[in-house]
This record gives sequence, C-alpha cells and structure tokens, in this order.
Amino acid sequence: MWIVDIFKKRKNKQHKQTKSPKEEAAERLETMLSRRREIVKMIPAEEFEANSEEIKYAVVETISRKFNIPPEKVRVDYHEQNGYVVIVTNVNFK
Amino acid sequence: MANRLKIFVVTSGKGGVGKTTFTSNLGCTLAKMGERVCLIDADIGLKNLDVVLGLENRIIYTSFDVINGTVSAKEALVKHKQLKNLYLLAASQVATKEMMSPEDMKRMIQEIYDDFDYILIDSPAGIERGFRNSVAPAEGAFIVTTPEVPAISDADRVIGLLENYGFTEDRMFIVLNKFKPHMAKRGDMLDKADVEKALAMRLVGVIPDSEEVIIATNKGIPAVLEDGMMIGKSFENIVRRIKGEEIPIDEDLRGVSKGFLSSLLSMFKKR
Repeated sequence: MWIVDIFKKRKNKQHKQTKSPKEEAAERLETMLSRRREIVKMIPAEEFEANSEEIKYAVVETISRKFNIPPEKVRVDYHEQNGYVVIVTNVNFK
Repeated sequence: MANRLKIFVVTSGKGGVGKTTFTSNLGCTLAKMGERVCLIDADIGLKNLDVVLGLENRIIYTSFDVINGTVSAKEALVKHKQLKNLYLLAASQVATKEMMSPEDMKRMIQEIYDDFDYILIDSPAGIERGFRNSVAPAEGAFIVTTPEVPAISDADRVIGLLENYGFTEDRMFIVLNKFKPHMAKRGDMLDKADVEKALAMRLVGVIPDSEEVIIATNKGIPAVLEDGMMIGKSFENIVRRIKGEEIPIDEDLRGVSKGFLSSLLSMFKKR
C-alpha cells in the first residue's frame, strides 16, 4: 500500500506545480466577472417611460447594425416585471 | 462622507456567508463603543437575528405588527440583555417578504430615525423583494463575502445592483468573512488582494474564520461580547474605518496566524 501512497503523493505534487487552487479560483473569478460587469445596466423607470420610443429605436438600431439586417426585421417589446423593465427583442433573420 | 452615514444594509447576495452574525457583532461593537444602535431583521419568514442575539424569548411584536398599525416601531423594539443601548426590531416568522414593501420599510425606519446613532438592516439572501426592502431606506451598505468564487461572484452582482440604486463607492463597504490566513498563505484560498482585485473595491475589514463564533452563536451571545475573542479587534477596526480612521487591513488578522511557539504554548494552556 505504501508504494501506492508514494505515487499518490507524487501525483499531488505534480498537480500543485501546475496551478494552485488560489490561482485557479482567481482566474475563474476574473473570467466570470469581466464578462458580467458590462451587462449590469438599468434604466430608471421614469426615464424609460419618458423616452420609451427613443430607447426602443436605439435598441432596434443597435441590433440591426450588430447583425447587419434592416431595422424592419427587428421587433422590440417591453414589460414591467418585479420592478424591472424587461426588454424583449425579436430578430427575423430570414 | 462615510462617517455621516447612519442607516446601513448588510447584504451579500449569497446565503450562508455570515450576514446575520456580522450584523449582530457589529451592532454589539457599536453599542459597546457607546453608540445607540438598532438592528432590524429584514429576513421575514426566515428570521434569525433574534436567535443570534439570544432574544428569541423576548419578542412580542415584529415589524409586521408595525406595518399593520398594531403597534408603533418604538413599541416593537426589544432591548438587549447586556447592552442597554442596543435594540432589535424583529421579523415575523409567519409573514412573507412580499407582505412588506420598500415604502413600508422606509416609513418604519423614519419613526425611529432620531432615536439612534446607527441602524443596521440584516438583509435576506438573494436579490428579490427582501433585498429591495432592505436596501430602500439604507444610506450605506456592507457587502459580506467569503473567499470563495460563488460568494465573490454574487457580491459583485450585488455591487452592480447597489450602483443602480444610486450607491456610490464611498457608501459600499466590503467585508471578507470566514478568512483562513493559513490556507491563503499555502495558496489554497483566495487572498485579501484577490478579493479586492475581483470586486475592484477596497475591503473595510477581514474577519478570520473562528470556531469561537460558532460556539458563541449557539449560546445566543455575539462573539464580541465574550472575553478574549480574537474577532473583537476586527469589528472594532471596521467601526473605526467607517468613521473615517485609516487602519491597515492587516491589523484585523494580528494574532491570528500563530507561530510554532505560540501554538505549542496554547496546547499546554488547553491542557
């Protein structure tokens, strides 16, 4: 059995040399958080109500530019849910 | 400026990081320093703050009775057994978070605003109604996290939400809880600097992981009220920092990482 243990220990050591748990965790965090920070964006309800058509138009324009399709093929809808405004975007690629 | 803030929400996103333990210990520390403190349990339905403070048998009215108009907020307050300037406004166990609105919370706190120097709101986990209720009246926020990826990831999400609620960086305070210096030293756990880098914010305090906290919590006595507890210093430092003092973060862990000789001595002491 002790021979098996020696191999186990060696295997552990090899693993340690590649990446420590701390480094691995830090890398995972960086990947997760760098992606998320850009998404967190909320428009105040009053601002949204006052400029809803403008915002709708801006969403349509952004999507149409992003996917290189005419603006008529983008449909934007919105509704309130738990105090948040949810923007639903439908794109017709055909 | 941070030292003018009075109402704080204690939040985290993730559950089990120690929000309630933090709230009770911070409240006790502030009260020990002579401040008039009110702790509000906003975790309706899953309340625990009264248990951690050892006041569960003294609760007659809850925040639910206040918003229903049965009693005033002042009448619903429960005084702490040892600290006469520390009060608790308990949450109901039978009500649900949806039975209270952010406006109710604001109104309730307005009633007691002038009677206290600090009001701490213990938020439930998550980012739904309970979180929104807790955040609504707050002027500052403590974001409690542990050195684990899911907890830090949730803390980041909460910071984003708080920013949307209008909280600026000088009103948000990150607390690293359950920190194990020996694991961080070995490279087995994220360090203080890793957490600060990930959240792009400075820590207001580091609380070392401690078995003493578990024992004290089960006794219904916040650890900072027990004699000779190491974490008392961490909490004192946090209070001093939110009041504007500059104290190096390493001070929170002073005496935690024992050397060989002190470990040996403590073994003999135990015997």
